[in-house]
Amino acid sequence: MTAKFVDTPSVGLALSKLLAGRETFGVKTVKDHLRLVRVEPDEAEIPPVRMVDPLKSIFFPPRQEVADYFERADEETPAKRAMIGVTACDLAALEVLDHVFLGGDFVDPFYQELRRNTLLISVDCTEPLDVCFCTFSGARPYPTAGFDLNLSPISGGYILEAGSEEGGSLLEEKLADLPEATADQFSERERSRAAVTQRVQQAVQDAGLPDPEKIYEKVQQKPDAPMWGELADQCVECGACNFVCPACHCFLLTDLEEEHGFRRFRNWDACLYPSFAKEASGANPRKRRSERLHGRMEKKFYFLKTDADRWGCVGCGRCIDACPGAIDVRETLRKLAHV
Amino acid sequence: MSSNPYQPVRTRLEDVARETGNIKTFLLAPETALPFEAGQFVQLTVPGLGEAPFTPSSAPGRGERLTVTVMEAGTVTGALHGMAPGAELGLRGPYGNVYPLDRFAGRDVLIMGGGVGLAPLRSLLLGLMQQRDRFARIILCYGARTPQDLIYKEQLKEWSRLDNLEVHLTVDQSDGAWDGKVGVVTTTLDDVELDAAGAVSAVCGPPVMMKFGTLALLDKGFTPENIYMSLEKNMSCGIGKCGHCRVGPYYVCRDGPVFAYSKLQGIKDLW
Ligand SMILES: Cc1cc2nc3c(=O)[nH]c(=O)nc-3n(C[C@H](O)[C@H](O)[C@H](O)COP(=O)(O)OP(=O)(O)OC[C@H]3O[C@@H](n4cnc5c(N)ncnc54)[C@H](O)[C@@H]3O)c2cc1C
Ligand code: SF4
Ligand code: FES
Repeated sequence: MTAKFVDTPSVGLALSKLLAGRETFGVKTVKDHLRLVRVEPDEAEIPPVRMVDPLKSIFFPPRQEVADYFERADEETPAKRAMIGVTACDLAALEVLDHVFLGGDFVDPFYQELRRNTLLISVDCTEPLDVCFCTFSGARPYPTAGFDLNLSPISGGYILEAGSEEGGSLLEEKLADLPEATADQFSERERSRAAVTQRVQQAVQDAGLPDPEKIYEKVQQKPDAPMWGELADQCVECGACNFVCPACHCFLLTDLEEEHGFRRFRNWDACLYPSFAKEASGANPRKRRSERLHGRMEKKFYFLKTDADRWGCVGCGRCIDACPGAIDVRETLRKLAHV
Repeated sequence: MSSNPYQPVRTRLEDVARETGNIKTFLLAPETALPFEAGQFVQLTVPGLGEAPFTPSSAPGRGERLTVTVMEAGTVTGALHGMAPGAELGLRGPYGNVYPLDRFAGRDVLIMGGGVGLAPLRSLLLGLMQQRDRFARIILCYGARTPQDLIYKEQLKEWSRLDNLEVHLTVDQSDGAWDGKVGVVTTTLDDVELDAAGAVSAVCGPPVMMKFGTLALLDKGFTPENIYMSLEKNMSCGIGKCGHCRVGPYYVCRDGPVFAYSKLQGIKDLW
């Protein structure tokens, strides 16, 4: 695929040319946090690591209207959009969401539209966080698939590489005058990618993280291990881990009466909430917090592996930062591997 | 935009019949028919309030008219119970899998229901009776708490008079007028003589009844492959997206709601 070199002072202009006419999202530092916000292309930061917010928010918003009944909602064609600054872990999680919302007998048309209309510009990670462990499943801290264009920082600027047909033609069309990236620049990128990968791998090793295949087995075999009860003592059932997780996709439909009809919304939901699986009969198959904490791992490491051939955890570490009960998923995985 | 699976079809409530103190049967007429097969379920909307999943209790077919038999259990079912004919409702579906009738063909079929659990089984039973010749014996075992709690009382009487359907009824507690059997529904199995190893069964009812019903059927000699359960898990989307109905490796709305017990054995949070 096509790859260009763009020098640091010209990145903003290049992105503006590429994304003219699109509603653009990107990353900005707000109070020391990398946040996902609406941006003008030339003011987007090229983040060195994943943002705080999960990428899912722009494809599967926390609350979205999905029906206006009994009249059919006007089918607006959503604006063309773009997102600048996506990292490899979020792209991996997007594969899970694609499986859920686009796969099977029913397509979620709202997700599909947003997905189709959004150009993804990803970045290589250069400064992994303390909580990052994406390589535990063999993944890499730089995008290898699923992006339209990718930015790899090298000395003096970036390699801007196309990853899709759409990205390729945009590059040819809008930035034809940029120089092709050279072989030297590619080898610089390889070296820097290898160094960052090595750093994350070292962290994964230091944390004693198991192979997810091991978790796949253990999570099926050990639903009754005492570790789930110990975790339950820490969990306050806030659902923060579910909401910040880029691969958590569960939702609840709620309806509303309006002056001129009725509307239905699809809202993020959390499997850590006590009534998530409660049945009308009063029975609740995951009544105890320990059962729900196990259920969440079972969903990620057994169900999704079986169903989507994907791991439901991409190692972004967001839940580690978010949990008010100081639950560290790396600790959970390590314990589970040894019960 | 692809068709919207969250959009309900406007549906008229044509009739309401009281079955018991907290169970009613609703006759629904959707603007667009919802053809369904026995086993599948629909999502019924009370406009502005929300939805709940139900398995139709009427005979499978073209779905221009269908009935659901509903026990009052909460918000949506409570609102439904307050409605009169003419009310506007919504429907979407049908969803989920169907009873594998080809596997029932030529065999004895035992249907075991508890309480409102007979509702989804009625659709199956009516479907079987439509093609009665394909099956050997058809046996219905049905129990409720008290005689008042039996649903489809008139139809049960009619069914009892048929000679190609064997009906066994029981109640947990008798009242003065009841001259039938007293005992939990599994005790009706004692009155049934059959070669269970080659027979199939379908079970539906409250979780406790499903559990003990299934164990009793195993005791009787039914094989796990031939015990079909219809699971009533918590559902929201009905289309395999929202995650609510997950049991082990399955989404009940997508991979069920009908499961052979052999597929569920060993799942810890099944009951
Ligand atoms: C496939 C299937 C077929 C069913 N068939 C029948 C039937 O034929 N007849 C019948 O009477 N019932 C049937 N049910 C059960 C019926 O769907 C519930 O009684 C109904 O959803 C309760 O809704 P509600 O709004 O009245 O109660 P709510 O106020 O929503 O709930 C009361 C309690 O039940 C829980 N709950 C359990 N299941 C659900 C659910 N599916 N959606 C929302 N909340 C739930 C809630 O968490 C709450 O604790 C079926 C369920 C399924 C999954
Ligand atoms: S973030 Fe922590 S406390 Fe909140 S639900 Fe998740 S595990 Fe429990
Ligand atoms: S009800 Fe939503 S996944 Fe089954």
